[in-house]
Amino acid sequence: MIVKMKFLNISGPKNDIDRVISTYLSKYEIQLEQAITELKTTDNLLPFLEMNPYKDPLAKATQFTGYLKDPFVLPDTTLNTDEILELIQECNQEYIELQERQEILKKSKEELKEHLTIISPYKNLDFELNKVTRFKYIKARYGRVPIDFYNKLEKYLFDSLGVIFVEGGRDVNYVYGTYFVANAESFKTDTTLKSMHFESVRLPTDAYGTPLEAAESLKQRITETENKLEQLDHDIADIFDLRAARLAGAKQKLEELSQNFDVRKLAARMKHEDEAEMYILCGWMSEKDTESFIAETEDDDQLTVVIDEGRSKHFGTPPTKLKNPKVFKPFEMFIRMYGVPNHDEMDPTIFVALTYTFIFGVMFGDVGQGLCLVIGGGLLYFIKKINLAGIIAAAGVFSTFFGFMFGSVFGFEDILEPIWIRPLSAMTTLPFIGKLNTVFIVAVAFGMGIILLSMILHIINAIRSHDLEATWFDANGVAGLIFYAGIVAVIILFMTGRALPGGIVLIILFVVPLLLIAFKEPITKKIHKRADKMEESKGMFLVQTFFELFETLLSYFSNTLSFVRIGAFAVSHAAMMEVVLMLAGAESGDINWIVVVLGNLFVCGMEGLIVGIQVLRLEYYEMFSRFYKGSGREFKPYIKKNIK
Amino acid sequence: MGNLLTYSGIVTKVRAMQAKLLTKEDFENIAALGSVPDIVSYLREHPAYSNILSDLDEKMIHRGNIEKLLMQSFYGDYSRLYRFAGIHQKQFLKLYLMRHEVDLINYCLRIVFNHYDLPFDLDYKKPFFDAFTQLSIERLITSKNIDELVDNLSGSEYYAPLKLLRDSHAATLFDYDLALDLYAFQTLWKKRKKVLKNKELEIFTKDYGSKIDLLNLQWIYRAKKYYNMVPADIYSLLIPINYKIKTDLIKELVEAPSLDEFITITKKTIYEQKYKFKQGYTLERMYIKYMHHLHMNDRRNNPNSIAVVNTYLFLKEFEIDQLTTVLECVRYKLTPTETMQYLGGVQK
Repeated sequence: MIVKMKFLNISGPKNDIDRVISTYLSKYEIQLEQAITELKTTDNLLPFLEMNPYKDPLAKATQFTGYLKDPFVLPDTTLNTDEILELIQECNQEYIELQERQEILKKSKEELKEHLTIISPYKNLDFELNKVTRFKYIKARYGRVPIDFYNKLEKYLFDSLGVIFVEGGRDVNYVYGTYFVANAESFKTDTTLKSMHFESVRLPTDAYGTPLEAAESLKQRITETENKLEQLDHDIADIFDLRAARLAGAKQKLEELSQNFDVRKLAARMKHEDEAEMYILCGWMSEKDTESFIAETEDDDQLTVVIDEGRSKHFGTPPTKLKNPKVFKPFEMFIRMYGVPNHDEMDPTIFVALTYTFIFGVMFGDVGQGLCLVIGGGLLYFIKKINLAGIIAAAGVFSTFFGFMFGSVFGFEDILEPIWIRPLSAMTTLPFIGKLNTVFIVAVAFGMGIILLSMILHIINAIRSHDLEATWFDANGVAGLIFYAGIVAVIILFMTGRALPGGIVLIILFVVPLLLIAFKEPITKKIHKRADKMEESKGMFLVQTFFELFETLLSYFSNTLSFVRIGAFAVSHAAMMEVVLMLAGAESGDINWIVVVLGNLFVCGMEGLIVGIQVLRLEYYEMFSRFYKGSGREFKPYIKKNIK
Repeated sequence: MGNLLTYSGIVTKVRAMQAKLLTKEDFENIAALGSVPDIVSYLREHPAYSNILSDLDEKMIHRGNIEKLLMQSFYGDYSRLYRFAGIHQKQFLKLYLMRHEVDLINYCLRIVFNHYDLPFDLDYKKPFFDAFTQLSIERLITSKNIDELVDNLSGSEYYAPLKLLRDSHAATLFDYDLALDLYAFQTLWKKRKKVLKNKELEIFTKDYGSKIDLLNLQWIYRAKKYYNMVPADIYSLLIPINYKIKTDLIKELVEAPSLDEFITITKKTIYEQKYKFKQGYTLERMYIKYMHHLHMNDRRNNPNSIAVVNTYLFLKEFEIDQLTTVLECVRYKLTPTETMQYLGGVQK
């Protein structure tokens, strides 16, 4: 069912807007429209240009609640707006302070690490670093030499130079170490070593003891800094955890405040010469809500509510809000996927719910698997609120029902006696066609019924929207209905072996409606007495009409045959389960139960999926295309009602 | 006998190519010619160069252009041999090209350091280098500075040694040159054992070891004579490989207080003792003579080995060097006798 909508104009003094939103509008579902564009006929409208003061605190609150250890803490909503803002500011101050300290520590950690990389290559030197640089008569230099040059030094120069080189360690490219030289020799030695690419290094001043000790102490200091950083992380978390409930509450409240404030984006302000500035809001509300809203605001003299009755005639169409009994609610999903109905179309939810589950049941008739679907889908639907699960559960009910009709339990065909027939083996002999599975014939007959029903629905929709052409001359209108019903009647008569009606009746049944369908455009024009010319020439029009008619006839035929799939899947389900049982060795009497269970799971999953899709295809293609447009827009309330 | 089979094809090929090398008479004739165009038309008659020079435009007859074309002749020979070679011989040929790769990078380093303008005239090398080496001239010449040049070498074996130098900063063109050269010599020296075996390894070790020794000698000599370098600096530029000149002798040579004493000490080296070169030969000439002598010996003693290929490539490059020299002499109007003196009289 579609809920009736009213278009409301709400206005009052400009400063009153926040009160109105929080006391009234948050209670009712209303789809606000952009006031300035919607009320384009009114002059003097200006937009609100205020900045949202809750935006920054909200961003902060979101960030802070992200740090909480327990994200599902029960929110404390007792704070008022000022207290919230104060809380956020307080948290922010403490947070920034700790963050600064963290930055300083991080920097010193980097520095220590750098020192460590400088000092660690010298770890084999077994003397105190700073002591040797303070010798009176001997100079000590730390540094590194590329390995190639070190080899040359060893080969040619160390013997003749007055120098002692102590190697501290080496990597792929360099030899690290210290050389000692007497003061008098130092200049000559320095230049020599420099030409052998010795790069001297300034050791960090905070390194004491032997390089190994220095490295150890540096490492220790790095860990200490890391611990401090970790402690700071905890401190930061503590800031928020101490106030967890209040923060969560503040975030919730701020979200609401910010959203309410943003209503201004959709509102307009208006100023008459002498009066105070006014705000205007406009939007759609359901009829029922409107009544109680007006009743509640009657005593409020700050507020003017005007219902714009002529709205839907003069301006755009109202949004569509679907409202169906709880059982059919999950099926609204299929409608939303296709497009919600226009405000004067009928809501096909109930139709879909009934046909979908019924057809699914026929195609997937199995007591055991059906019950599995009911239980599994039902549990998922009630726990997780997944719409699709609800649909599966409902379909499972019919699946079980047809399981009894076909006498099938988990693929075992010999436990239950079928109430109706066995789809695999039941045959019917028809004149002209021959022997055929009964389910196929029933499926096609059922399809014919569904198509006729769709046509009737189309006619009802067309009458509602006062569309003459669609009502009478469309392929799905009265003309099409008479033609198709005629064919169905003739086929039934023929198949049951009765006499066919006379030639004149046939001509009236078939030829007249076809001609009406073919020439629907000129006929409609005639009736409406419109004189607009045809766009193409007569010849082109005839050719086009011929092919269109051909296509229409073809689609009657193919759409009808399309329903064979209902029977086909009923048969294929039985056949597939037969294969599973064969693999399990049911015939030899020695049944492998693992194979039976796995096979059932496989068939249930795969066939369930395929059948689900096929039925949806029938719904959308064979039925909806005949009567349903789905061109409406969905009702999207600005503030979702959270009170049930 | 195994060698005979593996090498019979390529050796025959080399023989045929060898026959096209210029003879001493050719050089005498060329030296006697009066102008560059005359030399070109003389060479056009010669099978080794006729193809390359035939489509040279008369207006383009210029010493620089001709030198490039002569190099093409070497590239052509190399390609032909490479196509003819087996897997094993190809490995050796790849190693042979290392010298050329290093030269190319050196040239590019100069482009970057000295800010040469486009065009750099490397186009004539491009097809050859694209086909046979890991270097892409196209990438190298787009480098704006030394950092980019080193980055553009990434993927080749020269990236690692140069990157080390770049990361130490403040390196000069000389440092880069030296690092590249030393890397090339050391790598070749190390790889020789992987690529070659037995007799071939022996020949190569002898040739290449002698080359390194003689080059070290030359470098010490030049460092002393022209640059007055101190021993430590000289040590840093030596190739750290000793073949027949032992460490102590090198030390003695480097630390010789004067040039005369250096020359006296060189008499102690095996090279001076074994091959009593004529008095008055410079170290450079001695180097050329000796290398020539070594290669010819190798070919004679091992007619079915990689030595034949190696010797041919050596001779071909040598010939191109000689031709370049002749072209320069003729261009600057030297007399035929003077020209022949510059050539040093070593042919085929």
